[in-house]
Amino acid sequence: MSEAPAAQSKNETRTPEPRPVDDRPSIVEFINVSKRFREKKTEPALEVLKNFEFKVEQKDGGAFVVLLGPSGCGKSTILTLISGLALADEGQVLIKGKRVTGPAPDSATVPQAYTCFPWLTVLKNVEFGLTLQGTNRKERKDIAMEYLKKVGLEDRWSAHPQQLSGGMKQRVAIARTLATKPSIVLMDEPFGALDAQTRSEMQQMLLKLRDEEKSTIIFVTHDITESLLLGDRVVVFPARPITGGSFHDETGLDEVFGHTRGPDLPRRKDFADLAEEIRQVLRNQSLRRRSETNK
Amino acid sequence: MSSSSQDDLVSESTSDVTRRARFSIRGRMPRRVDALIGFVGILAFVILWCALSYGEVVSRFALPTPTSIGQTFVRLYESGQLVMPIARSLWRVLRALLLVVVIGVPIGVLMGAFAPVDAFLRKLVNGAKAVPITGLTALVTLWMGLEERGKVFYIFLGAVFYMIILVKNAIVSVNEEYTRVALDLGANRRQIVTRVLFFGALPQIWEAVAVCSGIMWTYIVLAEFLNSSAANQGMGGVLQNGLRLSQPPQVYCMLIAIALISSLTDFVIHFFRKKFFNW
Repeated sequence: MSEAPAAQSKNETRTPEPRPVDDRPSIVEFINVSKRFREKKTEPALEVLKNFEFKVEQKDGGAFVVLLGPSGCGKSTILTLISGLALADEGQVLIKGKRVTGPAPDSATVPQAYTCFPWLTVLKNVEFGLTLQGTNRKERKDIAMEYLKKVGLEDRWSAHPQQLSGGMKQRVAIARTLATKPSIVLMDEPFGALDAQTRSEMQQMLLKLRDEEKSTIIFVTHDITESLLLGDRVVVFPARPITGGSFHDETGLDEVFGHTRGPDLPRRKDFADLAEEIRQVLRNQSLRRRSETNK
Repeated sequence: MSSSSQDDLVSESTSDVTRRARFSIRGRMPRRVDALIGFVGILAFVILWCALSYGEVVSRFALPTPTSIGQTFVRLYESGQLVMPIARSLWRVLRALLLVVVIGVPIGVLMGAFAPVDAFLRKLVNGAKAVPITGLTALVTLWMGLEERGKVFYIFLGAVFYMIILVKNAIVSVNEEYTRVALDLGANRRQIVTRVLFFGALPQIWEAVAVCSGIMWTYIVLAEFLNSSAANQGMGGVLQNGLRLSQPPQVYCMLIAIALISSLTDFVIHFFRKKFFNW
């Protein structure tokens, strides 16, 4: 039943075709972006992005794009540049056509680390962004409680983060981010530190929230299964520096696996096949990069 | 194996771990055991003191017996030289501590948050901290006189530079992720400082208050050596009288009282830290 689309996606990853000219409006666009990091002036710069081109199209109901690649390849740098917490050395990062020049309310991030403010209760944590936006107290509380309900923590509103498990802390962080209603939600390996069971529960919760919120979600992970389970578009990155021509490995997963995905999806053969295909792509890219470096 | 014997095994192994943990590196102990060991330490000290003084291993002039210290406490209490001097000293330390907090905390926060402020003040603060406070006695007397103001200012000077440095370090050590999250959610610079850095550093700032309070109790004696008239006599004055009148028990009484009050203050500050600033 699902073999055909899976095979089609395999072809896409094997022999990348040049993408047709795309005139759909983009919500995020990277134009010829380069980004380098340098610890000390005397040390050579670490080039993370090089002439990087990337685009996330506007989509009714919000897109779910997963950036997949090995640890340290620069995926998180892409999120940092979208959030405006870092700026491109060269090129432009655009959100809804406007150049990113600093943190803006269009996007908000759920980081990997547990970042709930320990001095605030769960409710006050979720209210934090709303307080900064100047929302009045009653509205703030109503919105925060609504989002705590969505992440299943409405009965823990008065607890402090120290009293919560890792999964609960990430739920609070997700509620805090979504409560500010950003058009782009950036998630930087938010479930990376969680155990397998909690991670699976969080993934299902996120899929449910995706349908309710209709924001565009850009999700970074190095876990192939997670990327295929969550994303409707998976972009595979090689080792750094990420260059303009290397993100062609896209897979339209809503057409392959359907929009609604349960925790049993990874058991399907076409899912396993596609995961193996991506694994091969990553391995080949890594080997190619290594041989280029050795030359 | 029955479930009860399994439980026994579990509890035995747990107590084994606890027992080993007492001498393991950074091991934790149950609170009661901690208190008991602390009590044994004090008891050992008192026994040693009794042995040295009652046994006259050390002359009773240099080391009075616990009995004579107790009698001196009663005498000082009855002659009004205990409660009021303690109250005066306590009041001086509290006022100076308030000043240290009001002045030291904002400066430390600004130094920790903004590199240019740190660059501007760091060398001055470090230099001032290194100046021995005893060397400032004459200057303080010149600036503030010998009365109440001078005494409070003297102990303020002894602690304020430590406060600034401790607060600055507390701000610097706040998890960078909190700042990033707040920025990402739309916080401006003022909000980052007041809503994130300050609260993130609050437990350590509170600890700094405890440290500075301890420092002040070490300086109160020096401050009260200045112009110690009977009307404004603090614990330092009573101690100085003891020295002048060759009454070592009186000196010991004041030193013990200062140590007790300082420890009590420390206990109260840490109690509040655990209760309200536990992150």
